[in-house]
This record gives sequence, C-alpha cells and structure tokens, in this order.
Amino acid sequence: MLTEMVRMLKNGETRSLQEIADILKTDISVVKAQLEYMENQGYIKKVALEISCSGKNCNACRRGSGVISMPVMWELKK
Amino acid sequence: MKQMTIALLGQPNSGKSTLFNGLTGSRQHVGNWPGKTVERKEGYFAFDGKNYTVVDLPGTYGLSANSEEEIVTREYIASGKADLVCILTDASQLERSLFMLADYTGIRTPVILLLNMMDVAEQQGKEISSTSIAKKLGIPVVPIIAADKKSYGDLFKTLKEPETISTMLDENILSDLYKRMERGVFKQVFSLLPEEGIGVYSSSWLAAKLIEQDSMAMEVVWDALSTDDRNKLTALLSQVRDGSLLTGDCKFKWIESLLRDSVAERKKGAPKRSRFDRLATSKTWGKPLSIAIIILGLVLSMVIAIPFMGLFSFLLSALSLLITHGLSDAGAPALIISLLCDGVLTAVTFALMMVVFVFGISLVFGFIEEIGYMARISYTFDNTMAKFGLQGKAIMPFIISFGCNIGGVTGTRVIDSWGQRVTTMALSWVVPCAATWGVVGLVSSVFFGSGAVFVVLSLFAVALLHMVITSKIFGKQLIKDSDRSGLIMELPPYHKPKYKNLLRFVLNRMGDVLIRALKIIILVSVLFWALSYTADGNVENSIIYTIGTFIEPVTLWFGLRWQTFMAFIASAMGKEAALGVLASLFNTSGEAAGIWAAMSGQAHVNTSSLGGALLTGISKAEALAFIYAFFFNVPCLMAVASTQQESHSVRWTFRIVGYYIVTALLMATLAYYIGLLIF
Repeated sequence: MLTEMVRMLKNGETRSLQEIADILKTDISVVKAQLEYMENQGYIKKVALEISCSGKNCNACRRGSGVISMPVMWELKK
Repeated sequence: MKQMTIALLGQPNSGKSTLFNGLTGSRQHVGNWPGKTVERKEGYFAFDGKNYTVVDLPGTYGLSANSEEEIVTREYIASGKADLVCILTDASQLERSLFMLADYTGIRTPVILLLNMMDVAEQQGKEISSTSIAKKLGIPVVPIIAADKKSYGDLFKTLKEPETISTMLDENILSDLYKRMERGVFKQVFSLLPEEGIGVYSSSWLAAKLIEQDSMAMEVVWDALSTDDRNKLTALLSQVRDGSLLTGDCKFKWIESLLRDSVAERKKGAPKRSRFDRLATSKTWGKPLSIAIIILGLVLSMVIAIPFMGLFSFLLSALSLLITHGLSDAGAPALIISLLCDGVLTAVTFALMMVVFVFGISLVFGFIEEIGYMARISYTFDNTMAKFGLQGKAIMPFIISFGCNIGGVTGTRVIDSWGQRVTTMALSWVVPCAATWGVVGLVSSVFFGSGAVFVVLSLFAVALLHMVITSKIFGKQLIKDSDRSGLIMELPPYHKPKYKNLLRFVLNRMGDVLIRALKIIILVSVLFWALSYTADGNVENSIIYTIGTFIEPVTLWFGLRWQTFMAFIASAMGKEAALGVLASLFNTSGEAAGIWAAMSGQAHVNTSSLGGALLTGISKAEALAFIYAFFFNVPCLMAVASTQQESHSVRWTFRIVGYYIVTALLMATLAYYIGLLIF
C-alpha cells in the first residue's frame, strides 16, 4: 500500500484520499494513518501554503483570520 | 512492600501525561534524561500493598531512532528497568495510534494496551471490543478515560493480577507478514540473526529495524554476528530500497487485521459520496462543471452589481448638483468646484461602482469556498496544470490571485522548482484580481449594458488561451519534465456555509478594495487633473494633451485613444488607477473637456453623466480594445516587485513585464478590429 502510494506520487499522479482508499480497498482513516507514517519517515511532506504581501491587515487574499482554505495536500519530499 | 516500575509509552496526544498525573498526583519528580535535553518525569503511587514507580516516557510516533526523544525511549526500554510497559492509544483513531504497538511488537518486556478516550470513540459511534483485541494480542487490553480517574478501576484490577507482569505480546502474526515481504528480504536478514534474539529484542523485531536502516539496531546486532554474517548482512541491506515502506506496510496490515471484527461502527465515519460530489470530482465532468460554476458566478456578480451602478450614478448626479450650486452660491472658486466634482466626487463614485462588482464576485466565490467546493476545483484542474507543465499545487497561487495577484505571486513559494515557480508567477498574472474584475465589470457595463456578460465571457476564454500560450513560451525554457510530481489531496466534506464568516469575508474584501481604490483613484485623478492644468485654460497647451496627441497616431494602431492609452499605462501601476485617469479625462460631455471648461471659468460643472461622457468619448470598438488591453496588462507595480523578490531574477521579471505589455497591446488590436466588424 505504502509503496503503491509512493509510486503514484513518483508518476506525477494526483489522487484524493477517497480515490486512494478505493484503489487500495481500504478506509480513508487507514490511508491517513499511512500518510502520517510516510511523513514521519521523511518520504512525503504536507504542502504548506505561505502568503505574504506588504498590505497590513489586508484581506484581499485571506479569509478572516486564516489563509484562504485549501485542500490538505501531500507531495514527495525531494 | 513490593515494588514495580511502569513505563508509559505512547504517541504525542495519546493522553500519557494526563494518565501520569492522574496516577501519581503530586508525587512527581521532574528532571532531564542523563546527557539529554529531553524532560524525564517520574512519579509514584501505592495500590493494594504495592509501590509503583511510573516513568512517563517522551511522546514519540514510533520506536525508530530518528529523534532524541525516540532514542531516550528506546534506550530506556532496552535497559530492562521497566517491569511493565503501558502503551496508550487513542481509541478514537486506532488505525494511526496503534502504530506504536506495532512498532513495539517483538520487544520482550511485558506490556498492556490502554485504549484511552473511549468516550470520544463512543461518541463517534464506534464499538470497540477490548476482549477481541486482547485475544488477538495475547496481552491485557484495558479501556480507559485518562481524564477521568473513576475509569481507572480496570487498570488497577489488571495490575493486581500476577500474570500481567509475565504476558508477552504475540509477535507471530506480524512476523508472518514480514516473511511475505517482497524478494524474501526479511527471511534472509532474519536467518542471519540469533534465533533467541538479543536482549529485550526478538530477532524478528531486529530484522525489521535493520531493513529500515536503523543504525541503533545495527549496533545491537554487530557484536553478535560473525565476520562472515556481518558481510552478508551489509551486502543484503545495501540492496534494500525503501525498507521503511516495506516494514510499514506489514505493520499497517497487522493493525488492520487486529481491528477487523474488533471495531464496529454504528454510524459510518465518512458519509457516502453524493451524486453531486461524484460529478464534481469526475475526470470527465468535473472540469466543465467547475467552469460552468465559475461563469455563473461571474454573471451573477454582474447581475448583482448593475442595479447598484444605476443607484450610484443617480446619487452622484444629485450630489454633484447640490455641491455645485451650494459652492457657487457661497462664491467658491471654479477651480475648487471642479476639483471636488470632477476629481474627487467622480473618483469616489467610480470606486463605489467598482466595489459593488467586488461584492458580487466575492460573495459567489466566498460561497463556493465556504461549502467546500473550491477544493474540488483544485482537484479537477490538476491535470490541466500538468498540461501547462506545472505541478498540481500551482492551482493554489492561481486561486489566491483571484483575490490579489501579489498574494498569488508570493503563494508560488509552495513550488520547489525555480523554473516551475517563475512560470507559475507568469501565469498567475493572467488571473484577474478583485480590482480588475471591479474595473472590467464597471467599464464593460457602461459600454455594453447587458452585452457586458459576453465581454466578460470572452475575456475568460481568452485568458485561458493566454495561459496555454504563456505556459508554452515560458515553460519551454524553464520547466523540466522531472519537475512534475504527484499529489495526494484531502478534500473537505461539503458543509453548510457559515453566513457570518461569508459576510465578514465579503465586507472585509470590499473594504480593502474600496480603501485602496479611493487612495489610488483620487491620487491619479488629481495628478492627471494637475497635468491638464493650464494658466490660460486652453487644454491644448497642457502637458498631458501635448504628450497625448504626440503618441496618439501610434496608440490608435491598438484601437486606443490617447486617453485610454494613458489609462492603460496607469493600470500597470495599479488596476484602480485606470479609473482615476478615466475620471479626470472623460468626466463630462465631450472628450477631455470637463475639467478644462471649469478651469476656464464655467462654474457649473456637470458630472452627472459619467457613463454618458465615456460613451460619447470613445466608440464601442475602442472600449473593447481598452478592456482587453487593461485586462491583460501587468497587474500592478507591487506584483512586479513581488515577482522580482520571489524569483530573485530581474531579467525574468522584465521579460514577464515586457511579455505582458506586448500581449496586452496585441490583444487590444485584435479586439479593436473584431469590434469594428461587430459594432
């Protein structure tokens, strides 16, 4: 399962957790646990969105107190 | 009195410290592990004639030797100082928290499994059979709520039983899974190790750790092997690739087998996917659906904004008359009346009109984000990013650019490859920011009425084409095939929008755009008003007129009058600036006559028909040319500065700027000639 996920990422495929769970015939919670393991072992990392601009208290690209909501994404660590 | 040492082991947030405090109360000692900066907590309690020492081991994900905390934990367990290890797991997420137990399997120190947070698991509708898990593991399994001391009864009862300190975790099932590992790696490594294991470690545990390239495990086995076996082991391990994935796979399969028939869910954790979601994430229909929703959003935002435009126009007319008459009666100089009505009031009205478009677009986009659909757009457009040669995550800066291009440019930090980053920056400039939509909505509504929708749709289509071409041009030099990598995305569930959040977001964005627009538009209006000032009141003697008429033979090639060309140039500083130029150069009937007429002594200034002034000033084909030139122009000076800062390349920043100015003028020319055919 883990090697299959790494293979997908190396091939440049983009998958949702649901898709991976369907492919690997398991639950989303299991896939998430495995992603956490791979992150811990240094194979993958979470994509962290960082935005900065000079505008003080600017809300043009932000949502209230937090950055505009984005899906949580993982990618291979290079 | 009998003594017993218990070590508490678990992942961070498994409730270890809560249990430690619950058991020991104030009888605690806090220090550091010898030679380490890691905190050591030890506490004591007595129960049923026995003294217990409790050691709270550092919270770690597993038992690899990747961090100081993990090393401390491993060394303590290997020392054999603990009579019993209590492994805490979060019962509400056993799939992940049982990993610690899986990683422990093969260590021969008696262990009991504590299923903490049973109350949370119950709330989630999970029914966990601790008896079934205990049977599979061969060790006591105790449900507990660490935060509730009343739930400690079963734990104390288990501690009292003599077999508790002699029961070992059954490692056979996990060993069997290891033995099925590809190319028989595990079997070969296992065969080289002493059958009885070394110290507290079984051979199976050591073999798995060696496959994971664990240096501490290598130190443990090194002395126990002959030179020949050492060489064989080194040769074997050098061929192993991704050992942690191989063993990790086995451990997760073991966890799955452990939970099978032991955990039942009354209500399913994840709701079934709706038909809409299947459509929204479909490879075939997801994209057309996203495009349709975005277009609907744009159209809807115009439908919302247009009535407000009429209202502001009416208010401007009324207010302008009031001010003009009031000031004239008070004997105010014509210059002041002109400055207030032609410059400031017109600029304020323009800014307000622009902001109502921002209201519509923010409301629609905020809503689709609030319900969780925006994440689906990112997902469905991933393969489009691939066609551009970009990574899937490049969609993030693009979505941010819809609010502000500066944010979009800085958002490209998410991309590791420099070439990909610069290409993404170049492409993000095409994405219209809130201010661009405001100006485009306003100008196209003035010129084309309900036909503005088609203008906006044509801009949207051409913008996509622009992105394709730009990605080819820049990507050719900047992107390598190896830069592409995959993504795993967690799509949030759909949920009801929080209208309060949505309203706050819309108002915040409108406020930001309005403040910025007012500052820029008024500043530019006054600047252009000053440039057009002449002592004799004849506009033909002004600097702006001289420059404008000098360049106009060239700007007409692009379908731009000198005034709209000035607005185009100003929009590269900040999109709102274009309105400032238009406000001062097209604010009364006839071309650039308003301010100058007032300057030459006419006290009554008519700013009531702003739209009308624009309409009589330029033809529809010229207006279309201007809208295209404006839309595809450089977003703003700050975006240019951010691009330079983020790309660390003045050369590439200038290339992008040059490319955008040239393509914007090219688009304007094409739009102008097409406009001449249509109108």
